[in-house]
Amino acid sequence: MAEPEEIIIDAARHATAFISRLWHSGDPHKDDNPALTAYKNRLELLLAAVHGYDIPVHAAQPPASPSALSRLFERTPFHLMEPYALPANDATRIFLPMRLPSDGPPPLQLFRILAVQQAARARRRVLHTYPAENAFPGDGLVQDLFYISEAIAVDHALALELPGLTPDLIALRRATLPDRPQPRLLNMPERAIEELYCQVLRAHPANIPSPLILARIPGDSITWAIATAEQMLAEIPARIARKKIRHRGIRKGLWLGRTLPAVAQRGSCSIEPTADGPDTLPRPQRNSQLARSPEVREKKMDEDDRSQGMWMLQMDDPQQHVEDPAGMQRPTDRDDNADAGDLADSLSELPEASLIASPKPAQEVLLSENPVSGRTLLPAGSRRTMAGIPYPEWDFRISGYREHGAVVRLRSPLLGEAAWAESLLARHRALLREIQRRFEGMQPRRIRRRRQPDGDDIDISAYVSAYAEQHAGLPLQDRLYQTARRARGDIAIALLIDISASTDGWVSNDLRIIDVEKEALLLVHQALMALGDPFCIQAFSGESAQNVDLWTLKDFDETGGSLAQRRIAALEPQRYTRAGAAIRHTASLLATCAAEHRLLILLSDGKPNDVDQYEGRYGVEDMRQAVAEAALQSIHPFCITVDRHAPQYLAGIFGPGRYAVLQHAQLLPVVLVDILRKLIRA
Amino acid sequence: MEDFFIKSGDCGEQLEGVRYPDSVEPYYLSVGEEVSVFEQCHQRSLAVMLKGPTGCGKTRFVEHMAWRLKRPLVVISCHDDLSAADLVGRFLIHHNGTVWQDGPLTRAVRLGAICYLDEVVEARADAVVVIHPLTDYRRVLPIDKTGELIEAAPGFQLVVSYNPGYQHVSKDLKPSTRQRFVALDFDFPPPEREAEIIIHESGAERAVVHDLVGLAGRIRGLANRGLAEVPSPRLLVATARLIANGITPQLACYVGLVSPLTDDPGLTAAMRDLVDAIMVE
Repeated sequence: MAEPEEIIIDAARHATAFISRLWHSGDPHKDDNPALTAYKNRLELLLAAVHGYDIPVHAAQPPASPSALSRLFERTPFHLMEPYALPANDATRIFLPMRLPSDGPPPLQLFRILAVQQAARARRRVLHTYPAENAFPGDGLVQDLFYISEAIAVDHALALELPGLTPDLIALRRATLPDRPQPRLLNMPERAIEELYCQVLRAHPANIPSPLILARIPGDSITWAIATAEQMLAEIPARIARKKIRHRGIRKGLWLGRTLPAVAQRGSCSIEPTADGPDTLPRPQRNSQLARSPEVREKKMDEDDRSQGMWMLQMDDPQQHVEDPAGMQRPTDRDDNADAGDLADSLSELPEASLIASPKPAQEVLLSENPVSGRTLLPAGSRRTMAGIPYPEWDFRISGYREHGAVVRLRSPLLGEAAWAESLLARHRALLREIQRRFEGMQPRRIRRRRQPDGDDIDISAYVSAYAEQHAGLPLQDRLYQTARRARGDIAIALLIDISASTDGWVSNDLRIIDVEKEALLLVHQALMALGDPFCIQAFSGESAQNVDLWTLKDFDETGGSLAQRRIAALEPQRYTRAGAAIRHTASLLATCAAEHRLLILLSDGKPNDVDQYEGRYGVEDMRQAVAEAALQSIHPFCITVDRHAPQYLAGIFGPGRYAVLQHAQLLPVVLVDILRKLIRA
Repeated sequence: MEDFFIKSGDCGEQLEGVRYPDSVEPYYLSVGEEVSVFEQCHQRSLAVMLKGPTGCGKTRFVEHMAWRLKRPLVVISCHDDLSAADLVGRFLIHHNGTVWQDGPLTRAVRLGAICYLDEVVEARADAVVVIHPLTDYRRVLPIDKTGELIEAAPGFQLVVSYNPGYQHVSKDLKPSTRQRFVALDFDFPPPEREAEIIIHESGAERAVVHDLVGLAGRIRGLANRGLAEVPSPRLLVATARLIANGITPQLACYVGLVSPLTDDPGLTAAMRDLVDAIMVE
C-alpha cells in the first residue's frame, strides 16, 4: 500500500503536469500556421544547393520557463527575455522555430530567409573560427556587438550573392521591429545597443549603417565591437557610471537569433558502469512526447568531486525528483513505474541537463523533435552470449574474412495487436485492391515467342521474310513457328527490414520511419500473397557482433497471413544496424529455395552501424562483401532506403541501379510495391 | 583529305539519312584536347567512343568533327528494338522479286562516312556484334544475307556514344566491345565556357546567362540528394532562349529548367526557391 507522502507527491506531480499542459494549450503560437516539418525537406535541399554540402535543419527549442529561483536571483528582466524559440546555428546544424508568428510575413518566406541566413552564418563559422563565449571581455556587451556585426556582414553577402532574397531580408528585419523592448525600460549601454539594433533593422541589407562596419572576417567584428563597447561606456555620464550600470543583454529577436557553441567543442557524455549480470528480460518501454529537450550541459572539470561535502549527507532513501541539472540523479535510479508523461513534462522544464549513457535498456523513451547530438558509445560485449549462427565478417583492413565475425541470433517475434493491421488495411482499402489486382496480373502466365523452330502456330512475319529471302536465292529459314510459354520463371523473395533505433526518427507530425516501414510491409505482404510466389519477411537489429538479432515475421512455407500481420504490428525500433550478417543469413535461406530467380530486398534508413568498429568504412565494406556474396549465389539484391545521403555509399555497396532512395518516406508503401513489381517483371 | 570529300553527285544520288557537310560550321567550343585526339583517330582509322551525360554536346561534337574533316555523317539513334538487320539492311519484296536494301551502317561503310551510333548500349546485343569487324584491322562489314564482304571506304569512321549514368543495369557494353574504341570523356564545360556556349546558342544577355550558369551549378549539387538528372547545357540553352525571347528569367527557369528535371514536389519547391533567390528581373 502506498505511503501518504507518496500519494501527496503523486497527486502534486499529476496536478503540475495537468496545469502545465493547460498553459501550453493556450500558447498563441500553436495556431494554424504551417509548422517547420512541412518545409524541412525543402529547406534542407535548398541549403544543400546553395552551399554545396548538407546543413541539417532542426527544430529550435523554446526557452525554458523561468523557475521561481531564477526569477528571484537572475538579473535578466522580463522585457529582455525571449518569449519564443529563436533561430540558431551551431556551425554544422541550424535550428528554426517550429512555428512562426502569424502576424508577420508568410511562413514559407520567413522560414526560407531564416534558414538561408542561419546557414550562411554557420558557413562563416566553418570558414573562420569564432572566439569561445568566455573569450569576450566585459559583461556581454562586446559579445552582443560582435554578433550584430557578424549578422550584418552575412546579410550583406546574401544581398549580393542571392539578390532575389533581398526583399525577404527586408521583410524579416521589418517583422522583428515591433517586438523590440521599449527604450525607457533599458539602461544606458542597453539603450545604445538597442538603437544600433533598430538602426540595422531599418536599413537596407546591402547598406551598412554607420557606425557599423563591413567585417570581412570575424576578427574585424571583434576589433570593432571592443572599440564600440568602450565608446558606449565612455559616453555614460560620470555620475551614472559610478552606479556601475551593468549590461543585462539584448532581446535577440528573430533577426539576430542565437549562436550556439560549435558541436565539435562538445565533449562526450559520461558512461555509467554496470556490473555484468545475467540478461534481464526486456521490459516494455514507456513512451511519451517531450515538449522541448534541455540543452546538453557540458561537464565542468571539478564537478565530479568524489569527496562529499557536508550538504551531500543523505540519511534517507533518495526522494524522487527530476529537476536535477547536475545529473546527480541517474535515469536508472528513478522509479520503475513513474509515468513517462510526467517525466517528459518535468524534463522539458529544465534549461539544460547533462548526458549520461547506460548500457541497460531504457525504461522510458521520451520523444523529442531533435535527436541528441553525438552517438552514445556503449562498451561492447556487455550482453551475455547465447547459441546462435556464426557468420564470417569481411575486414577490409586485412582483405580477408574474420571467422565467426558475427553471430546471428534468431529471436521469436512478438505478437502485436491484430486491430492495427485491420484498421490500416481498412484505411488503404482502395490502394490495396489496386495492388492486389496488379500483382495478380503478374502471376506466371504464358506469352507468345516468335521465330521458333517448332511451335503451335505459324509466325506469319517470319514466314514473309523467309519467303523474300528464298526468292533472293537464300536458303529457306527454318524458324517459322510461334509458341506460347510461361512469361517468367518462379521467383523467391526475401524482404529484410532494418529496425535499428534510427528508424525512430520522425518523417511527419505523427509518423516515424518504423511506422512507415510497417505500413509498407503490411501492404507488400498482401501484395506478395496475391502474387503466389514464395517469400519471407525478416527484421533485424542488434548490438555488437555477438548479437545480431533476427526476427522471422513470415517464413517461406507459411501460408496464413494473420500471424505475420500481428508480428509486423509488434515491430519497434531497437539498437543498431549490423547489416552484413543479416544479409548473409537471409541470403543463405534464399539460396535453399528452388526458384529460378531470387530477390533480396533490404529496407533500410541509413548506413550500417554498430557499437564497435562497424560504423564507418568497416561496416560499409562488410555490407558490400555480403551483397557480392549474395550475387554470387544468383541472388538479386536490391536496397530501398530513406537516407538521402545513400547514393554516396549505396552505389558502392549494391552497384548503380540496384538501389532506390525515397525522398519522402511516407511514399514507401507505394514505392516498395512499385519497385517490387518492376523487379519481378524484369 | 579533299579527295575524299564526297558530294551528292559522287554517288549519283543523295542517300537517305546521310548528311553532307555544308558551308556553315556547326558551333562547338572545345574544352580540352578532344578535337585533336579525334582528328588523330580519324587519320589512323580508329573507332571512337564518346562518354558523357545527356546534353553535354556529344552529338554536336560529332557534327562539328564531320564538318571539320569534310566527311558525310550518318547518325543512328539506337533503341532496344534495333536489330542487326536494321543496321546492315534487308531484302524487301517488290512486285517482280526481291531487292536488297542497304541499312544505314552499310551505307556509311560504302560511302566512307562517319557513322555515329547514339546511345549504343540501348541496341540489342546482335546489333552491337555487327560492328566488331569494322572496328579492328579488318575494317570490313560481312553481310551474310547477300554473301558480300564490304571493305570500308577510306574515311569511314565509327563513333559510338553512351551515357554511363543512366543505362539499364542489364545493359552495358561488353568488354570485348569496349576495348575496340578510343574513349573520350565528356562532361559539363567549366562555368565560363558554358556561359560562352549559352550566349552563342541563345543570344541572351551575358548577365542573365551568368546567373543561369550559377543557378545550374547549384542545382547540380543536388545530384546526390535525389535529383536523378542534373541540368545540362542543352537545357540551359533552351531556358536562355526563352529569356532572350522576352519571358521573365524566373518563369523561364521554372518551365525550362526546374520542371523538366523532376516530378518530385520537394525537389521542385527547393529548386524554385533557389531560382527565386538567384534570378532577379
